[in-house]
Amino acid sequence: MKRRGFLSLVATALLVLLGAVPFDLLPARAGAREQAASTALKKKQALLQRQLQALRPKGCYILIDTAANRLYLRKGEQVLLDAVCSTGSGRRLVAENKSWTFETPRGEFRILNKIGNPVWRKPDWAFLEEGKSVPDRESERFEEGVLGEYALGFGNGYFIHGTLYNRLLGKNVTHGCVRLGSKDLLYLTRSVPLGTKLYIY
Amino acid sequence: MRSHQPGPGLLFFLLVPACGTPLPRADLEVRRLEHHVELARKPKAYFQLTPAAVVVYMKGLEVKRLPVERSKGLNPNLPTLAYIKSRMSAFPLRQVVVRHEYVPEDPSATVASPEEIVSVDDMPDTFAFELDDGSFVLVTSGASVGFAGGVRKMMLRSRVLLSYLWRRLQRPSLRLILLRMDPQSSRHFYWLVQEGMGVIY
Repeated sequence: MKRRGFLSLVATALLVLLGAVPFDLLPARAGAREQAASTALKKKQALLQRQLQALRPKGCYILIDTAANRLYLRKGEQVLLDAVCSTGSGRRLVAENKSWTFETPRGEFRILNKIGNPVWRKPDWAFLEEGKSVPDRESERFEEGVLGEYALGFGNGYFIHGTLYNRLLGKNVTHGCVRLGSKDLLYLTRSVPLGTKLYIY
Repeated sequence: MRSHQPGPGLLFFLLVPACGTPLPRADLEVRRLEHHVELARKPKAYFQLTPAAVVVYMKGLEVKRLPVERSKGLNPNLPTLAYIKSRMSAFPLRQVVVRHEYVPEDPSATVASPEEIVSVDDMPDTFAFELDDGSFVLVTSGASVGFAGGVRKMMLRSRVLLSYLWRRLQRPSLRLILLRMDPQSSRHFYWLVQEGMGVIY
């Protein structure tokens, strides 16, 4: 038996030397190659998982589901606040050869500012929607008390703010801003620092 | 209650299994992670189609799950990344246009009150979207829509099927994915779908 094993080893070595069998196809070598490939795959998998983890938001972040009209404040997987909100109505306003579509923008944003007792500076569409003409004087644009106690700005004139119409929470009724009930708004304002990531989908 | 609307069953027998060699398990996970990392780098939501659910992600985080009742054409052994090129609906979308001056020659001259809104309930329950790799996703539901609605749904299915078959002649690797969802979930899905969104299927 020992002799047969020795002879087969010599024969294989000769075949390899003569180039008849590629070195890689020898059983031991092929096993090592497979193992190396598997290790490389595992390393790549771990690297990708780290990259994905790095892309995920850190600390507190806000999620807004415009279809369900819900706002979530989360920290990792933990839900700190699950609130009913109101988002954009999808209406289109056509007036004076201009048009506006009242939709809540979707994507990634940041909380840029927090305002206590905000005053609404009414844009042109707010007058045109009511069938009024746009005032010449700037002072006629300001309206107090309609945005609730706080407003959290997330860019381009969009805010998360309070409302006078609690019965409309949970519906798509806004001009693009996100409305919250006063209790939830207070909790959110106190919980999120400036720069908190906001994701709207 | 059993729906008498024509179901997607008519299409099922025409489906040819998708081409492509299934990947080994480790490769599969690496491929899936690569797709997630690519999409998580973007500021938009993206989704993954699985036989049980449409899973919505934002920055690599799962944010929503819409259940799928039945699916056909998905190949979990070959995760593919594509982007939404266009979407098609069986019914014209309801538009709410507020205008104060009447323009008779404008076909969208629907005069609505400022209280009217567009919500998820106005979204179609049967729709399709085309991916940039040429594949199609057809979403149906068992919502009762009457005879005219049934015809419209049938027309959409035929349109999608013919487009798919025509393209399949040129590129055999294309896929037609059929998803059957409950009416509410399919409307939520339509609300979510936007051109340019990433899809892992």
